[in-house]
Amino acid sequence: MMQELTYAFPILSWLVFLPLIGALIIWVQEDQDLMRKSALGVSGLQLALAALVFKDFVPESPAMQFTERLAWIPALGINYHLAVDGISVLFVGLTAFLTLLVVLYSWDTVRIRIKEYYIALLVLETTIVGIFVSLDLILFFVFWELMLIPSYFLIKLWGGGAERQYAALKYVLYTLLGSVFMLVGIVLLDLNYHDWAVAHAIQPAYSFDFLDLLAVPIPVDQQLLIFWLIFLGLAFKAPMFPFHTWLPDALVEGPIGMSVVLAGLKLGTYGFMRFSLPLLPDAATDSHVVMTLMTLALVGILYGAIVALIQPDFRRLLAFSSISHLGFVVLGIFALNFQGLQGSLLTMINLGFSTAGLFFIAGFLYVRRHSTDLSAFGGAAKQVPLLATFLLIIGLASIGLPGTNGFVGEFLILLGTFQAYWLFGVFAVTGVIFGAAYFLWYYERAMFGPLSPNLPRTITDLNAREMIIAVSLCVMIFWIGLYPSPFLRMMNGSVAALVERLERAAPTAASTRALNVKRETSDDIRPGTSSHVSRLMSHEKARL
Amino acid sequence: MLGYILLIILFAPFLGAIGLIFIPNRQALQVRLVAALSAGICFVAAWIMFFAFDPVKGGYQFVQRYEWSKELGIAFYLGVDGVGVPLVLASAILLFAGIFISWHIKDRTKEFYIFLLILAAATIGVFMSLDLFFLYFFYEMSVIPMYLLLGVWGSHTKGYLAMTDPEGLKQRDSVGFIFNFASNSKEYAAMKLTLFLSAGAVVALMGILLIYKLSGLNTFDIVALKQQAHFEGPVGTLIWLLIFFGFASIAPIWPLHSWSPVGHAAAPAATSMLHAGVLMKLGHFSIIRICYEIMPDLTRQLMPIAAVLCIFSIIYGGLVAFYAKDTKYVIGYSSSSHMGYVFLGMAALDYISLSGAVLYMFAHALATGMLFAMAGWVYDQTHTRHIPDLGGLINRMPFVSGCFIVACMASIGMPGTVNFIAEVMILVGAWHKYPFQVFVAVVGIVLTMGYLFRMMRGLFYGPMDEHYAHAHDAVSMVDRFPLLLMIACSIGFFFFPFHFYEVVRAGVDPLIARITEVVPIAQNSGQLSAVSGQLAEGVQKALH
Repeated sequence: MMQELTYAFPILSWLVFLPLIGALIIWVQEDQDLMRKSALGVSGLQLALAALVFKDFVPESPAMQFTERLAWIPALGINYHLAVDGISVLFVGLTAFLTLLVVLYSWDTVRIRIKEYYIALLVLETTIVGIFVSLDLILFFVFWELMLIPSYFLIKLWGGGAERQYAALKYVLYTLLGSVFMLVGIVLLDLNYHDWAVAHAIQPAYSFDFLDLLAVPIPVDQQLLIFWLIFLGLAFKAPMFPFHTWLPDALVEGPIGMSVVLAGLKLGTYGFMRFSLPLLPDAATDSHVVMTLMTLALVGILYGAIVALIQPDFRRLLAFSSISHLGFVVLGIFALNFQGLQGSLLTMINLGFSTAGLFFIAGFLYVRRHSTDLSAFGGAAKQVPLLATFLLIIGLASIGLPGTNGFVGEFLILLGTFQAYWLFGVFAVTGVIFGAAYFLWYYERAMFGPLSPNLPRTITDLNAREMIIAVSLCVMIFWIGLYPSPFLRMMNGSVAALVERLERAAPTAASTRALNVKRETSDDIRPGTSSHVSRLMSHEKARL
Repeated sequence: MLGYILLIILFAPFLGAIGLIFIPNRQALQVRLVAALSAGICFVAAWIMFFAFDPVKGGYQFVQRYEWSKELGIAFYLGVDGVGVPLVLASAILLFAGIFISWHIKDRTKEFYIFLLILAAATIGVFMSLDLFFLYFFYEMSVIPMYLLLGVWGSHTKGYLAMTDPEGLKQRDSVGFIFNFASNSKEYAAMKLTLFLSAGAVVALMGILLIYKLSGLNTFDIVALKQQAHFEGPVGTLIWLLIFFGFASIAPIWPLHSWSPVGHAAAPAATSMLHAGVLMKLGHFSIIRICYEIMPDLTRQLMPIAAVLCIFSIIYGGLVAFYAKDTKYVIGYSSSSHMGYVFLGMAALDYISLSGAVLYMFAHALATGMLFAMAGWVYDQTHTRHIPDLGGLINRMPFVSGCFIVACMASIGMPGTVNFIAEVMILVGAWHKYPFQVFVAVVGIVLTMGYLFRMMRGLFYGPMDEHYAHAHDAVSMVDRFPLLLMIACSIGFFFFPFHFYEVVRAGVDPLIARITEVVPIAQNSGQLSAVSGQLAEGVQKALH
């Protein structure tokens, strides 16, 4: 049963609302320098809080930790329920880390509407942390939707491309379209819970709480319907092939800070691991579902990599490479075994350092030449050796060189995929070759060779602020690459619990309906309490 | 101390590379000394390991094991057997010599040495890995430094176009076509090499993951897999073929060889040395390590494939070398031709022939290392590798031409060099099983004489062009030392092969005994074996 641990003070609420407080502080300020400094202070504090969460997080445990629960709309069973477990805890730290770097990056690269920029950025952080720590589906959905508002403005107002208006609108419309379906899915989950609660006379009659929903069986056909509805929401956000077309536009037209967040924090695939898999295990293990998703993932890997191969613009190349990487993540998730899930989770974190890091580098290039197109570079390594070195290190991490974080994650995913469906694995590994090809080819043309006449002799190498960003990314890359066990240990417990749940579902997928008919209630337990839920769970465990 | 000898050999170059990062590039001498120091530690330790290896005891020695991930069955597991010892020693010798060969590199000296040290350390890592994960880890790690060494410090091949296409039309194969490279550029060579090797690595990775999945042991441990795993039937054949062709592409066996001469030609001298000397042997070594040890039955059934392909390797490589006009192409094709001998020795599955193959890998590493070192010297002095343009250089560089003659003799397999012993062992051992191939190999030796003598004449004899009047001989100790070192090893092991032979037999005997189930002919060298064992004991005692 899902155990819950609480903490001395509501640290997760602080993590969620601290950036919002920061935004308010910035709002009342007049001096631009002070705005920057307060943004830096707030995001630094945020990272410190996240570090505290890491420090007191119990590794190798499947428990929900740092739990906070308040009734919000009791009539509908909506709670303010925050907690982290092995699946979400690393994302909280990653969000804080990347936001801090984005604040640093924006220090002198954002010159217009500085106040609004930092407010939007910090509000964005609030919503993203909210997404990662919410355990109530409505609360999750609220953050999920709220995230669109700051991102819309960030792309629209501070984007560098000519088509930024279009990109912002496209992003919002696509994501909203998916979210609508997801909302229907969430409501269906609640209705299913309601039916069951009424039939068994337990309180509350309605609940959107993840843990309550976990305890309730869902008929298989219902599960499939809900799965596909939620899938649409997640796939648009992720974005999975073929729902990806907004991504290159948003990443190329938007500001670098936004690209870093969109490419570095894999909200969509997080949703699969957080909600779809545990809540709908029968649907997730259904062979049609698995085959469809694996195929989409595989097409995404190869399509993204091949399109990336011919992109002359670095940011567009990165956008397609991130579609390709996302395919790997989905592939690992739907291998549905320990290695695959662990690898996917680690890869999602890794992309927060490597892909997001490459976007920072793209930003450094952009600042210097106001373009990331190949024609603006050529032989640049002679002029900017440090920039070239960091581009190489982070790029090699993204193509999975041994010793960097990318290798560990990719290897685990391939291992899991081979365990489950080796034929998919065979095709997926070819994506690795394309990965090496597109990155090295771009690198070779932009950085090596004779100095291009297009390149002004005045461009300078990294400044101190940029060095801090690049070095801190590299530290994380090598840390995870050479000694991943602290990170793996944090996620192990939850991943193992998830795998156990999926394994229990797999053989009984067909017979769940039959079991449903025979199910009995245990009336001697007060409904609605956690002991009730726990009894139900153990009851089910014994039955299956 | 002796227990940690492998860690010292492996990590000395890595630590050297890390240390170099902190030395400013301006202090070139300091950079070189640090590189030489770390390579020197590796070199000395490798010799100690060689003499301390006890052939009477056999098996894997100096074993080190650290758990890396228990759940996945991955351990950092090092150990050498009689096959690994000579190759580790060869890598250490070539690295140490290579540091001095590239003493005069002026362009980004520090980065050059960093990548050279990483390349050598990764190679050494493969030779001592007893865990499939880390074998693959180091194997992949060796590819990327090659890319950079070629791409940054390489040289374009002027003679290549003239050689392949007298009309001067640009000829491009598929790699050149996709990436829009002229096929005589170093960028083309670097990209082609990287793509071929990563494709090979990926194919091998499929095989490794299938071994992991199908063995059901949940471990990458080669020793455990060897004892407990059993593969047969079509799936076993598939795995064997994946592993064989994945690693044979780096070996390189015909028809997967085409990246290799291009890569040799473009690479700077020290890189060519390591590349042809030891990097190519990663292929043979990994095939022995995985196919021979884990899948002995399949090896017996399928190894005739190599016996067929090696005919083409030997003859085709020899003929192309005969017509090539670029010094490095001649040596490059001669290397791929000579690798056919190793495959012949391996395919015959005989005690003598396999020992010969292992010995040949070591001998060839020295011979090719010398040839590339001196081709590099000639190129540095004359700035051309086009043989018809050169001539009469013996007047300007008597020492180098003297060494070159010795190297040619070694490469041909003249008595007096260790290559002779190795070649004779391969031919004698393979005679019973593959008389035709032995005949081909003898023709190959004649071809080798032909093209090496032709090149020698073209470079050093005849009238000298006035252009080269400024060419220098290798006079300083720094320049002479590496050549003398390699010559000394090559000649020394001809006169004192006994310990070497015993070490190799200690590794080969159990392999062949398992594959052929034929008991070795009574060791005619019982006395020598005892002497060698005493030697090892003596060294071990001395160190304690």
